[in-house]
Amino acid sequence: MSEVVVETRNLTKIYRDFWGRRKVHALKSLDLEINRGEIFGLLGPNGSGKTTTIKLLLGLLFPSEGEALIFGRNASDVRRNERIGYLPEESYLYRFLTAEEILDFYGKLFHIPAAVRRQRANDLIEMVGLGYAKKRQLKEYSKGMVRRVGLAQALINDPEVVILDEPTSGLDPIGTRDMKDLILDLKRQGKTVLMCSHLLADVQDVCDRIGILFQGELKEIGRVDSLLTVKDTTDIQTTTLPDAAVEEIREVVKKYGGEVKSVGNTRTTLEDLFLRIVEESRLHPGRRAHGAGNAVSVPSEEGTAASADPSNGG
Amino acid sequence: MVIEENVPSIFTWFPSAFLEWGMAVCVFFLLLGFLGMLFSSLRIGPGNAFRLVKKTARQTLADVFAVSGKRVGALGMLTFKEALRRKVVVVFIIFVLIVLFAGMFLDPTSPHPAQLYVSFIFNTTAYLTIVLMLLLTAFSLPADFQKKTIHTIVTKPVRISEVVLGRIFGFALLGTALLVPMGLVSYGFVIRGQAHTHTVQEELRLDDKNPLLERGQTTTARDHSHKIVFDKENRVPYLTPNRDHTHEIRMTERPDGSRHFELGPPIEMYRARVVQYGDIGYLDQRGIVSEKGVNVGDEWEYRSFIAGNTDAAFIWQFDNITPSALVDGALQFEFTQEVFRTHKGQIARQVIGGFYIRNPETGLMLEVEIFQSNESGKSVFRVPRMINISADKMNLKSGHRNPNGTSASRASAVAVKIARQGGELTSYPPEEQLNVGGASRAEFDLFADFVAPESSQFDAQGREIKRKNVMEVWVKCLERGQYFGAAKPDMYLRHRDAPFAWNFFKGYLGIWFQMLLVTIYGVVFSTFLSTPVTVLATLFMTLGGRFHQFMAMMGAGDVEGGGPMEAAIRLFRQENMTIDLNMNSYEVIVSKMLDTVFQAFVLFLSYLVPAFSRFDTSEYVSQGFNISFDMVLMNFCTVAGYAVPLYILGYLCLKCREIER
Ligand SMILES: Nc1ncnc2c1ncn2[C@@H]1O[C@H](COP(=O)(O)OP(=O)(O)OP(=O)(O)O)[C@@H](O)[C@H]1O
Ligand SMILES: [Mg+2]
Repeated sequence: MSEVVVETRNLTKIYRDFWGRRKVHALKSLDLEINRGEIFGLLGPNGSGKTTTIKLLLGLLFPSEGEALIFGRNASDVRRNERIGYLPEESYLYRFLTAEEILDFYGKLFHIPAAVRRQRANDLIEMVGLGYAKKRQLKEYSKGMVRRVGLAQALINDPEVVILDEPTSGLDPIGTRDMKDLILDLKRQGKTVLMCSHLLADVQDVCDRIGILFQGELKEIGRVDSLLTVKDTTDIQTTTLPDAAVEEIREVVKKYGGEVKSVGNTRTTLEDLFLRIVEESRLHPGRRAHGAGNAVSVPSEEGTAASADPSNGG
Repeated sequence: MVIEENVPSIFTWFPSAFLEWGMAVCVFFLLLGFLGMLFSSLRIGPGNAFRLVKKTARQTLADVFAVSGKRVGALGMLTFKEALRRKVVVVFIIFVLIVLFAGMFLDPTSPHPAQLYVSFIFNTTAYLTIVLMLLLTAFSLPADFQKKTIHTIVTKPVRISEVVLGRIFGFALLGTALLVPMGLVSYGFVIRGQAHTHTVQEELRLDDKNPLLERGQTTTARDHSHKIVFDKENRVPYLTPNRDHTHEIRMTERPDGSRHFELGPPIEMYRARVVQYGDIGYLDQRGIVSEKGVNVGDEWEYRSFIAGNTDAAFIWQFDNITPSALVDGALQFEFTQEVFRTHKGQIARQVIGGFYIRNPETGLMLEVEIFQSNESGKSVFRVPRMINISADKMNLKSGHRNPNGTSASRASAVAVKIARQGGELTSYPPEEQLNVGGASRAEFDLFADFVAPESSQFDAQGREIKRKNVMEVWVKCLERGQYFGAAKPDMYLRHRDAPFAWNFFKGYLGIWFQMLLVTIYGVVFSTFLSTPVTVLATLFMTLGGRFHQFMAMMGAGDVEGGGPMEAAIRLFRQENMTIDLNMNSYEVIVSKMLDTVFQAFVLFLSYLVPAFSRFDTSEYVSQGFNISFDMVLMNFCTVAGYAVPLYILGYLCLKCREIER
């Protein structure tokens, strides 16, 4: 399972204004490879270039330099879109159509035969839980409802690669949960998923690999499990103990030359990692962040970055 | 008014038009490619730019032709639905309301109510649909970009060409769906709006002058009445036409001798005359072929004049004169003339002229009728198939005598003389052989004797034009010091009328063509312009198209007085525009150069802007002339001719545009 499905090479995007003057350097030579069957999470603060990356991959933007390929083909080959599903950042759907009509319409664009189309549209509407409202126009929908239609729309062609830009934004907790289940379900079916999200807990739960962007630069990339393994820290988690027991454990740790940093519920470590990398990048712009763990990373420009101290440590 | 344009047959028009089209399209896209290369080589260097343009050209060819009908259909239906859900139907309701209340503001005393109604309804329909399509198209694609709904389209396996075509198709469908019911309502409005009848008001009275006639009058309806003439001998009533129509009239005689007249709905109000035009030529006063007649001082040189009682004549050549042109056993010519008097002449009557037919090959000529000109309008001449000279039937009509004193029975001999004086005859049968003046041959067959199976002529460029079944029609003014004026379309051969409903439909096709063009321009402009600019640009095309003829003339440098710079110089120096400017001065040379650049630009523009007025065929319908099938085909080809390159242009614009922005 190492076939590369999504690939960017030296992908760069500079937004220019009407007169061709540079405005924003939104993406700086991004190299990314996503394998078949993988769930890849693209993380980063607002405005770091996640959506830009996705739009470049889909051909909604033209790269200033480099290439963005899916199935090894660039966006001018529209045939590849037959195997791609895309959920945009916000729900860009025709508001004057009903949920049923919109799925039928998108189905037609894929040349799906009428009977299959109807069946699939029905299934998807049920799946996103909109069966009760499928005959109403989208303009009467709430934000989350439209989002659900957007998701159904992205799956109408039973795609091999699914690109989700903030899939959980606007969804209620149940919807968020369903989305997570859905993504895991897609993984089970062997689909490749590229998503970006700000809900790190969810990303941690579903993603195989993540990349962290900061101001258009890739700061970290690697497998979630290895990225989150903090080698010089041991977490102890037990069922709730009486205070006396905690005191005793402190003593034991002290006896072995250790020091208890904190005891309590374990923090979301991806969040930790994320905040650290972002903070570090802000302090040392242009330097490849050094996360915890054995990141599968390209050597940083300035050689070692090991001295970085986790500033939010204790 | 006479419809002026002479529609060539589609077969003669198409090859040359196609060639011109092909050349214009090639030049346009080569220019586009060149500009593209120029700009991109500034950015990425000439080598890369060349490769880019080549790649774009190849992909364009692939994308433009390999479109999926299904996807275009789906996108079209989306567009259609969007417009419907935006309550476009309101436009139709507005239309119906206008129609319902039209009766209130359409002049009821109009002398040509049918014309008024038809042109009113056609204009209303055309303006409503054109403005609607203008706005709809200008808003749709830009809104798609703004709301980013296009993002979910182009990330599906949809070609950009399909997006453009889908829009065009959707709006065309919408326009059609609006025009069909509008057309039906309009037809109903035109027919029902004029429906009326009269009753006979008073008892008929004996005519003062003619004891065989009784006269009477109908009641007034829709602001007019008709006169009834009752022919006592044949016991038939006639109704005189008024307001461009008459009514069917039936009479029942009661046993007590009283008569009862019953009038039907209006007839002959709406018709579609099928007319055939000939080529006009002139003989000057000495009977020599000349390019033009006399100018009697009109600034508008539309009509040329011929002097009376000289050898001057108008000559129209008609081809394709076959028995199929016969209506009720005769060829029917209608002639509109203008009379220019240098003296009052005889007060009691109008100026007298002669109408002749002639075989262009043999030179045999016949005086068909001596007629009185009709200040207001039209004279009608009927040429029966079998012509019997000795019977004097056809040379005498309502007692007009030839003022030259030629007796009517000798008319044909006179006519042959005229033919000889025409000067361009090479050979014609000697008089004895024909013996037109004598008794040996008094009967002629129109087609055998006056129609040449084949005749050739030389046009202005010296090319030989061969025509089949040609007949000449001559008109002379027979009064000294008076002039007749006519232009080419003033004389036409009238064929059997076509059904009005069918003509109405063809008129509506004209609106349909305009709607299509506006739609295409709107969609194409909206691929790269914002909504307000699209509206302006399309409006410019639509309005500019109405001045297409002037633009084409200016582009070709045919406008008298030169281009704008030259005209400005003339204004300054107060020089007449017919005099050539002195070429020695420096500013004249510069201004001529500037004008040449301007001229090239206008020429270019005149190719971009379609001649919108060409598609406006409502005048034919309202004036009661049939829109020939050739013309419909021609307009269709023209629309297609604009549609194809515009579609490609739209594709290119959208393709080169980042969807995100
Ligand atoms: N159309 C545009 N024109 C100019 N600059 C743009 C445009 N779109 C995005 N940018 C800039 O590009 C950078 C990256 O934007 P992008 O939308 O990719 O961020 P993001 O990572 O998706 O952020 P978020 O988490 O808020 O969605 C930002 O600085 C943004 O201002
Ligand atoms: Mg984003």
